[in-house]
Amino acid sequence: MLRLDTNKNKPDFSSTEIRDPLNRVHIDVSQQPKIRVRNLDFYYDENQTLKKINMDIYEKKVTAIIGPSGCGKSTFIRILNRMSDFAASSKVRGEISLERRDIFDPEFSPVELRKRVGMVFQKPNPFPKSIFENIAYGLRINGVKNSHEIEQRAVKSLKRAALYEEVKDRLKESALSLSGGQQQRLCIARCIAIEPEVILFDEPCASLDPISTAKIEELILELKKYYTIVIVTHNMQQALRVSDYTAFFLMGELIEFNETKKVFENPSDKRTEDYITGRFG
Amino acid sequence: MYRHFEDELEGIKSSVLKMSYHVMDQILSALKALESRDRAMALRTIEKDALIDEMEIIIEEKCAELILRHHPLAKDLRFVLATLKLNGDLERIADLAVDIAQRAMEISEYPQIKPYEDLPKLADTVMKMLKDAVEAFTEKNYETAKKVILSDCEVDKLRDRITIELLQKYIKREPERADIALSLILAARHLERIGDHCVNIAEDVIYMASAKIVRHHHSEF
Ligand SMILES: Nc1ncnc2c1ncn2[C@@H]1O[C@H](COP(=O)(O)OP(=O)(O)O)[C@@H](O)[C@H]1O
Ligand SMILES: [Mg+2]
Repeated sequence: MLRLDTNKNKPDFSSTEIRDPLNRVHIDVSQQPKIRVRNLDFYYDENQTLKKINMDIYEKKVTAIIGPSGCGKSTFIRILNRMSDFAASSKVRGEISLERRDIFDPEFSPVELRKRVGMVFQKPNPFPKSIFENIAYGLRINGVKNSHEIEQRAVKSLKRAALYEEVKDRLKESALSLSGGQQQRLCIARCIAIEPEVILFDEPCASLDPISTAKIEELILELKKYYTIVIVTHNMQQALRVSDYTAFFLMGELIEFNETKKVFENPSDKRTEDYITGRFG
Repeated sequence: MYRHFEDELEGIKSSVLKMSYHVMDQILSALKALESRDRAMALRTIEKDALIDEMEIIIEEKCAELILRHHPLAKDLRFVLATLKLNGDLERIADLAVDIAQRAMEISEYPQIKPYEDLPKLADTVMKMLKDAVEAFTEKNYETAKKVILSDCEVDKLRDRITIELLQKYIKREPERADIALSLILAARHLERIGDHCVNIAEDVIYMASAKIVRHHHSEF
């Protein structure tokens, strides 16, 4: 991924002011954001996928990202932990800081960043190994050697992911023997084991039945006590149930960002209203 | 899906409109019975209330179904919430029309004590409020809703004037006519309560149009 910024100096994080006369993008300047995004542009080849995104992600809150398919939701959250680096011929411009530290700073290694900003994907993607190894493996490649510590952290994260009671007697069995919902919670446990500060969820319930979905939602509300959460979802009701803030993206633009209640009760932009009331397109 | 949803919303809106016309009819015939001391008319008004109770239930069921099936959000959610409350207010207004009809029955046995002056004025003001409140609802008109809320003062003033006049001229000085004077005081009170329900409706319209809750905060106008 190429960084386009001509200004090679450290970005000026004091420039918090966002001019938006219609108050469609509401940045709460009284809160110190966990992640701050300013004037973010993103390109795949010549196609601009994200246009001038300005938003804050607040600590220990759940931020939902909604919008029609292809509007750039996944692209956006993948930039937040630089998963987007893996896309060839992509370009980025603008500023993103994690606790005031520029995430594109050459001294901030993407590996370090991804430890602090973890990700859970749409399809549960456990390794074809035992339930226990799924977590242990991630810890080992992150430098945890002590087997006692590995075991402790695995149990703790399984508990925190509300999976432990269901699997404690079969930790040696293959992760692939678990149901879809359990696999997803295992992926969450694997992510938590690394002790991140932020967890990015990309449509985590898209392939799950309603009961497994309810469990994941319950879990997200529980995890909010410890982590800052960003969740991409197509389900408005889900955004309403789990999130504190909601961002509506349309064709690469951030159209509206505000408290979830405000966005769903009285959106400021007609396009947001059309989308959430099903009058879109 | 969105077509069906729009149709259902329109259906609810026209049911509300229909119910509001029936409610207005009820008030008018109760007032007419009061004015012309027409017992039969008062009775007919009281009987017709059952129809409005039925309409209230149908509208409530339609709203519940719409919420269940469509999970309305934003302006649609505000519309359904406002409709549910307005539905209740209309039903209460119809009950007050029945109360007025009962006052008409009470006074129908006595001769008129004086020509009506302020009572018709009060009735006109309240009817105008109701018409405006319903219009504000169907047109989502913030300004008309505000007008309704501001009329409430006038209604209170007229009601007080009627009460004081009847109290001092008849109840205190001619106790033998206290019964009829009391019925008229109550009728004025019923009209004033109808005005209060119109204010509730207007507040719901303001919520629907702007998501602002203005209940108990009228000083902002
Ligand atoms: N790796 C890629 N290479 C080129 N274009 C991509 C790539 N990934 C996504 N896109 C394009 O970027 C746009 C945004 O995609 P995406 O962020 O996946 O949207 P969403 O998650 O909102 O559905 C789409 O037009 C998509 O086709
Ligand atoms: Mg996506």
